[in-house]
Amino acid sequence: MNNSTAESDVLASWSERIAAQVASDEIDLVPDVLTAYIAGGAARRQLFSGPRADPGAFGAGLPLVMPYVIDALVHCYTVVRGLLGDPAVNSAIAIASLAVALRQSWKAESVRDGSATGTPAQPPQAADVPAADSEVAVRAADTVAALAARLAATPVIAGRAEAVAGEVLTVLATDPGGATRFLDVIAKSGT
Amino acid sequence: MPTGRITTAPALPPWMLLWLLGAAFSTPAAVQGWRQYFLDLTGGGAYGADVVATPSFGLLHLLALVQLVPSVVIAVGLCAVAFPQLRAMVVERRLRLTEQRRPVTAEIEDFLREHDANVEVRCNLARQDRLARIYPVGWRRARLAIFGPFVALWRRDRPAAQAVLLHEVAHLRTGDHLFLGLGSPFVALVNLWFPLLAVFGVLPVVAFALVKYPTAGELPAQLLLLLTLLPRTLLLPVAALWTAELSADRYVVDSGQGAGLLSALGAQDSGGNRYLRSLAHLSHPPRALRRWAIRGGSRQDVVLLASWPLLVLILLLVILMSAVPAWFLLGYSGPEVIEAGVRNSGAFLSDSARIWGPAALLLLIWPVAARPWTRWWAGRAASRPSMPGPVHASAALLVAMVLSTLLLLTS
Repeated sequence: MNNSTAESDVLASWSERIAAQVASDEIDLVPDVLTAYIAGGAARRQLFSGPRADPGAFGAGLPLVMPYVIDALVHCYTVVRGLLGDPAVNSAIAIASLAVALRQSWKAESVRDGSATGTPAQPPQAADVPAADSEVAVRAADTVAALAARLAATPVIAGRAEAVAGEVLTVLATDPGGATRFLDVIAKSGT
Repeated sequence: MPTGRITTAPALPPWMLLWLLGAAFSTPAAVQGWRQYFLDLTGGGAYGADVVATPSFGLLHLLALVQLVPSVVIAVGLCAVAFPQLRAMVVERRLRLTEQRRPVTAEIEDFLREHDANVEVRCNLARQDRLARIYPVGWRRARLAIFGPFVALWRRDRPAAQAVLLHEVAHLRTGDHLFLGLGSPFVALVNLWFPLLAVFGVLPVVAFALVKYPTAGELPAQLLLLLTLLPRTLLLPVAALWTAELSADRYVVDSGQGAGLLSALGAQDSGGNRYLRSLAHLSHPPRALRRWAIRGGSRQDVVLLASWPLLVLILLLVILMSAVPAWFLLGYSGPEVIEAGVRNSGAFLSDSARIWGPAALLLLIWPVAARPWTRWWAGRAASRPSMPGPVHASAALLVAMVLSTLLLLTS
């Protein structure tokens, strides 16, 4: 397997995992979204283009969520990469702690803003993991806040930015090592 | 694999094609008019060289160019109809549409095959300013462009997505794909002409008046004519585009996807500013009208069928609304204005008979003609339109009686 194939496998796998959590109806098209984002220029601009004068008989439909999620991850690369790339969280216990911390963080934000949507999936073995380490929890909350601030600027996600940010980071926290490789690839091509 | 199921023929005749034939019929007179107009503007006609040489008169050249836009776009549109492959090439290149083999496109193609739709699918799933649109690749061949939001809709609300597909496919069954859909010059005309007219049409006339040119007193009349130029020119083609959309909606209902259609019509638009939304209404009817039109019922159906040819009356009203004040401004007396109004109405109704006469005839024969017409475009057999035959006959009678009576009264 050459480098570019391995890279595209990483991209496809992670983007589909994130889409499954935050925008399941976009799983089919998320590889295209990611490819266009990474290509930059006109290909990336079309991801964020609003409705034109003649969108058609049924309008332009609902805007896609995943372009904004990928854009937020690239924009907040340093913060998210810093959290996931920290050797302190790169162990089984720390990962579980981080997942719990992220859940607590974004749920608290959502309840405070009244923006929680639906019933989020429970983190893996939530009942068996230790309580979140306080330092990890604080850093997780800061990361959720940074990501949410970026997402909140887009109308399609504005009302549930914290929830989406929390879910995205929860997915990434399931495998911080793999997630940092994913972030490195999109940030390298996406800035 | 085609199922061989028989689908219904479209309920409404192809008004866009009829309008285009009417426009082509009047081309020689239009060319003669333009020739005289440009002679006037360049000093070879009604105005002397000294008048034409003034800077303020030069502004009117902009106005002339703007007024020429519809004719140019109609000419370009006719070329696009004649060479659909060229239009397809431009559309696919501009929107980066490609053939893609993946599970979701296979599902969409399976659905299209189940409904006997002879269209190929092209995608750009990274683009998010549209759902799905048809475009021609031949006179009787079309492709369906699928964009990112449509795939999301396909997963989120399958009946609504299927209704969107059937609506687009319906355009191929009437030949309307040649006139509307992606890359349509006619839709471009409708969308672009209003800002062009406002900037390059109204402004020169106002500027002309502001410099107090000796004949500026005639300008209010000119401005009135100019302001109604838009509805006078666009009313029939816009209404023809609307009826094509309403006809496509009826096909969706006839195919048993009425609930999906209502769901698709009920979905929120993804925003865009108010100006863009109002432009969208120029090529597509308001959703309230579309919901009304798919409800069915004999009386509604007669109104729906007769509305396009009867719009000639609205057109006459718009013309009179601009002409009557203009006549008064030019010093006509009351009786003279009435006499001119009646005389010109008769001339207009007689001239426009080239539209409403064939339209009434087409309505009368449509229950029979619709089947071979659909077979020609779709390459598949179709049953009679879902509306009962007497409905078409009633609409034809209504059009013929109303307009011929008025013609007799004003001639």
